[in-house]
Amino acid sequence: MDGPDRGVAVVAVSALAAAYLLSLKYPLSWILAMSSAGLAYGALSSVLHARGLLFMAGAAPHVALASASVSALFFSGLGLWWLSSSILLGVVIIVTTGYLVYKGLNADIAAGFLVSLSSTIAVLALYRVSVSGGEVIGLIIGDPLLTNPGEALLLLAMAATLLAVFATHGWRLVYLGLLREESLLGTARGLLWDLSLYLVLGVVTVGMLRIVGFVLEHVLLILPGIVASHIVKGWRKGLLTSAVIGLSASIAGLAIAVVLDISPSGASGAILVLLFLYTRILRGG
Amino acid sequence: MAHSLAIRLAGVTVAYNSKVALDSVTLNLEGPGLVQILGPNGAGKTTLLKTIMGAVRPVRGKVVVEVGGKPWPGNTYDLVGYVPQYFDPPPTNPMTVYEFVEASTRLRMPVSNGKPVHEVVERALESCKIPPEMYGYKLSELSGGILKRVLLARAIAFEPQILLLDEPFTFLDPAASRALAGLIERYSKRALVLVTTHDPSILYEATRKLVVLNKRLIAAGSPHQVLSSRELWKTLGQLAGDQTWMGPTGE
Repeated sequence: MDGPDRGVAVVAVSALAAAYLLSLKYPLSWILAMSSAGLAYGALSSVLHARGLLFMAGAAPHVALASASVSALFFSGLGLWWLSSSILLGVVIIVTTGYLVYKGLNADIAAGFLVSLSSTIAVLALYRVSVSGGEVIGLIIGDPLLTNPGEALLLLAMAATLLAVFATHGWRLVYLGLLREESLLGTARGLLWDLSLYLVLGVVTVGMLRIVGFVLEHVLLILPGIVASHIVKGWRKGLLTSAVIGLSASIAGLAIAVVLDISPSGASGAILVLLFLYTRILRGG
Repeated sequence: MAHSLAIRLAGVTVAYNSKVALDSVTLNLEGPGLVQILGPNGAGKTTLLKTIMGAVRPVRGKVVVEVGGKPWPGNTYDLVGYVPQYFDPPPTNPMTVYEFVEASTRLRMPVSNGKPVHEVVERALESCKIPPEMYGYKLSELSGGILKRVLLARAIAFEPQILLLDEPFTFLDPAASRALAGLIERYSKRALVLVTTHDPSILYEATRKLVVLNKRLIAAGSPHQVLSSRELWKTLGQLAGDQTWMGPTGE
């Protein structure tokens, strides 16, 4: 185990120990919700960075907010129906965009249009929801402390599934980003793997929007993968390191939040931004 | 390995958006052995390789691959290892040399093959003379010569019966070209190897057949036969305009 590997292992063990200590004083559902979000976004960030799909990381939270707010027009209380319909809507939009990019649509143009369209829809829908007294602020800034035990377990299952799939098959997704024409040759499976990445992106960004919030989703989708690439080389190590960074930032963010009475998502975001700056400077630029 | 193998192109025409890239090419390529494909830029050399491997479909004509004298019933790509002319790995892609060859091998090699993947990967990297300390390098960190050898390792790891190399010596210095040529020459003893090039001299001695293309087939035959053809040089001279075409003996 070399220096960076040892460092990552120490951070992972520290994060788990901190999570245990927090669970002695605060509801387990908070810790599970934050840990799940950190792991899921960390893993997803690694793949998006490896594939050069950060444009989708920037656009996906806008789609998530638009989908969630449109669904809130029809289903009040942000319950299961709201969640299911918003995930469905978000997945359809993100997967369709991914398919168009796969077919040759310029990625910048696709992301630009997607952000414009979804921002417009979100503002229109959020205005209607707020006028009729619905909950809006939670979607924007996120609040993991509102998570109930059932939702926390659902989030944990989602994060565990995502990690398991990426750990066993993530290499296919990353390899598809190299020698693309040949990788996709003679098989429809390449397209299915590509679309499955967009599917996962849609499910996670919409499904965890209320925990993480629209603003922080950008940070969590973009930074863990980049920070990991500053520290380690290789796809496997990158995935593991990125997931550990997401987990640690989430747990540390929760700990700081309960001590200072600030937003847990905001605290996690601040930690990631500092980590990015620190590792960037360490790398010499 | 080393089954008799033939690629038969019959009247193959390929067009991109109605612009003809290959025009009625009829050609028989038999292996094992090394075939060099020459022609000016835009002559359709890359298109020919992509048509053979199935990435491009002809608008007319057909490509038939025969293994052991019988038409291959499956996807031609299953038999093909390919080294592209250009490969610029994105710096954000974290795959290491080892992971890259391993990923390709896992995709290309049937599970029932029985050999552990790590053995296959290490053997391919060793045979292409990639130093073990470079296995953990990111692809974007490699020099052009090493990257070409990594691409070759990736292409031959699953021991394809057809190896297609698109201008493998581009951007390489003479030492790197010689090293790569040695690897290609060795592999051509057990598979059908097709190399597109502007400089046939690097692999001249090992070449079994030379093909000259300029959208249409200009010439095909043994290297001596093709290069001693006055008609060929006249055609190439006309095609190249003020460029100079030099044969292996400097004529």
